[in-house]
Amino acid sequence: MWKLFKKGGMEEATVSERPELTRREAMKCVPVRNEAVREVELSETCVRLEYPIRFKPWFARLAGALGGDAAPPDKKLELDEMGSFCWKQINGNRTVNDIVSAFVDCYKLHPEEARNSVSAFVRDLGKRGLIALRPPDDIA
Amino acid sequence: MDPSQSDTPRSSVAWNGVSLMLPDNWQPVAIERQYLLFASDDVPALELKWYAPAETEQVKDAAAQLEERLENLESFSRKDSEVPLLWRELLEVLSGAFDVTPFVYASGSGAICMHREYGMAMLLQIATPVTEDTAPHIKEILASIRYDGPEESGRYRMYDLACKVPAEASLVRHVFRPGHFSLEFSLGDDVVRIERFSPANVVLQGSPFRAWIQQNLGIPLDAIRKDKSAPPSGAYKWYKWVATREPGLMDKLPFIRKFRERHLCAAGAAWIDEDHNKLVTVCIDSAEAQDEALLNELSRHVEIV
Repeated sequence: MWKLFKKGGMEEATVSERPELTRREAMKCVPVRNEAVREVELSETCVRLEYPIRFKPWFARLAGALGGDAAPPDKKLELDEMGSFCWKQINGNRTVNDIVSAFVDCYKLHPEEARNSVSAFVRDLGKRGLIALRPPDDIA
Repeated sequence: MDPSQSDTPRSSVAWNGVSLMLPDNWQPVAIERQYLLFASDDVPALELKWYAPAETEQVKDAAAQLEERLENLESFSRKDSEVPLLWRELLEVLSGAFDVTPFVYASGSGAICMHREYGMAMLLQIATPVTEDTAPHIKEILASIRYDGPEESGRYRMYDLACKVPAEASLVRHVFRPGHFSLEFSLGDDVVRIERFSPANVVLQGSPFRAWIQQNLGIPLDAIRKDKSAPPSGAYKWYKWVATREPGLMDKLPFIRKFRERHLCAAGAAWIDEDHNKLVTVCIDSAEAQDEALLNELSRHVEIV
């Protein structure tokens, strides 16, 4: 099975975690990158994402009061070739469906296989706060 | 789900004896040994559950149990007066091979189908509303349903993996995960495994194909040879191997030996379907070395579609 992430795995979504959007609607959404995420090229095909960890406000205050560093440390996430490909497709204009199509074209995947992988990947990026999903105009 | 979209291309699906033609936007969302659920846009569209003839004696009981269970469905009825005439007419396309008992329930229509020749029982449920608009397309789907008898080779076609195995082969395990499809069969005392990895260029990560076979299938490098005979569909070259596993320390334990001795010989073939960017392997684990006829026959019928 593709891992897409070199470190940390994709979690299976449970029924209770299903988004309110239908899958069809979600596939029409446009993923938008979080501007705080920095992309580091590791090789021609792989990237590493670095992003600040968000502390709970009470924890940040506590750390500050104890004289700790108020600036949160960065978290690093290495993507494999296919994860990096997906990430590079996210430009604020392409819908999830567009990314699936690019995935199918580039790697000659079965469309359903690509759909499942890309949607799981996008969902995981969303959970980590690395992207947001902008709904299309007709369901916004 | 909209089966009335006549322009949607259709593909065949074949699984453990049952085959049918479905619109391409109906995708399998649950696959079990004798159960398939198809959905369109995540909405359940068609559900099939069947009992194979190997269990013939239980089939009638199973059918009775099915009926009992179905009676728990909301608004279940199989009274002629309550089952729409249109649904009953549509099911006539199945009557050539099956005895059909139609029924309706709150969220769809269904039928219990008994195969007259092979004694197989099948429960069919379709969640789409049966209307004059959808009827022609539902009829096409129903008309395409076939059941291969126990004497016929087992045909499998799911997503883009198609293969044919000897009639005696019985499906033991299957995996359909993005990037990795696997079908495992028991064939007498042997185990046959057909796997499809995708995309091949990413799976190989630039390493030589033989090295990948060695690392991932545990085959000694010197046992892997390039085969000069006609390659399987889509491949321009292929590798084969026959390797014998030396009994290890664990094999000396009587309890474990009995199980492991059965599979001391591994034969296999692997190739890359360049057009589809897929890596395919066919492996046979057996007690003793076999001639290549079975391996060639299996490989010849594996296809990426």
